[in-house]
Amino acid sequence: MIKVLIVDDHPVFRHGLRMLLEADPSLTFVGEAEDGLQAIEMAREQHPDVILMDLHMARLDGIQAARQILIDQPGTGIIMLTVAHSDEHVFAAIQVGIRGFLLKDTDEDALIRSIHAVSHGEALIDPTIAARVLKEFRRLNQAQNVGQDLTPLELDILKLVGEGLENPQIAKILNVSEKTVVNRLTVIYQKIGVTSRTQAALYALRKGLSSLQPEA
Amino acid sequence: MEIYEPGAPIYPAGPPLPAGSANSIHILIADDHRPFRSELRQVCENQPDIMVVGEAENGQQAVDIAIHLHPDIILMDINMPGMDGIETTRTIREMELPCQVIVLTVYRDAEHTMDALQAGAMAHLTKDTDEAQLIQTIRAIHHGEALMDSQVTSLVLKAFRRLSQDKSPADLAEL
Repeated sequence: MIKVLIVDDHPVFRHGLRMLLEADPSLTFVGEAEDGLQAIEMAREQHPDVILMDLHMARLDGIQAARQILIDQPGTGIIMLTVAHSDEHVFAAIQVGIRGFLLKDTDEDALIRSIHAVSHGEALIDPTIAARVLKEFRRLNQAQNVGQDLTPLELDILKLVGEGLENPQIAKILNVSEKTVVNRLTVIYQKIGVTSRTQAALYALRKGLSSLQPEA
Repeated sequence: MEIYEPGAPIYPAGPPLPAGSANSIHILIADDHRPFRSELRQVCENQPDIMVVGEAENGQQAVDIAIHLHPDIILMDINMPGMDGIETTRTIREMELPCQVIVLTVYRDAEHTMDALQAGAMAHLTKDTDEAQLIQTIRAIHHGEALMDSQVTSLVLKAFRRLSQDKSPADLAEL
């Protein structure tokens, strides 16, 4: 039997999910919570195998709740089930260790299959979100491979150059002298094989080290 | 009742897209095996909304054709002489060509899948994938989606988590 906890601030939605779970004899509904704090308490009492977790809730949101629950019980399979989401939310949820990210309009059968998959230790992302996860995944991989011989400070400087910052700003952010930034930049140019600040900035962007600031 | 099967597609097939050349999805097939290319072409061309615009028998050709024929999607073999499919995928992403890659190979191991996804592929299928799933995947990728089975997703999420927890400069900047 797979024990499932439902966390959502909308009673009607919780009710609908509960009906859906109860139609599958291999799933056991063990409780519902209306916010993140309640979810943490319920998870401690009920030890669910899978939690269907809303994102935006009063008191404590789904990501913060997931973080605490996974510290308490690392084996819990948490599926974020949400309408609104930004890349930031998706990436933050993954960093916390959730194993599913689905949209609330997910087909009922797909949701049930997802609960089973997650209870087997697997993971799912809605295909409309998966492309952005894969793009970020590729960027993270590239960023890791970039300039293996750059020191951490040099990597930080290069990243900030890629974001269009000037030396005084970079010095301030990294808490080093401006002279240090200038000296390190010369070394960075040599190591990555460029001759100008513009080329270095392009290199940082292309390699995924820096990203252009998202629209305000 | 066995609802769950490892590796089974979680999502049902979407509705077919309207036919017509303006909407049709342009495909480039990159594979060094001619009979396989022909078979794939046949499968694609049975669909009203899919059109094969080119075939390449190695990675370099695939890049050249992609530059000139602007396919929407490349069906990419991994094992090809010279530049393999993974390297070709990486090159296409680095050149920022506006096409997506579906890797289509005989390999079933997670390692090859992860290599393909890290290089920038949006889906990974084995060559024995049935027609319906191949077509569904092509349409989904064309819609801007990405498809991974639940086992691969699990690996991607773990690796994603590890990479973003490394003390990378990207993390520092967010502080």
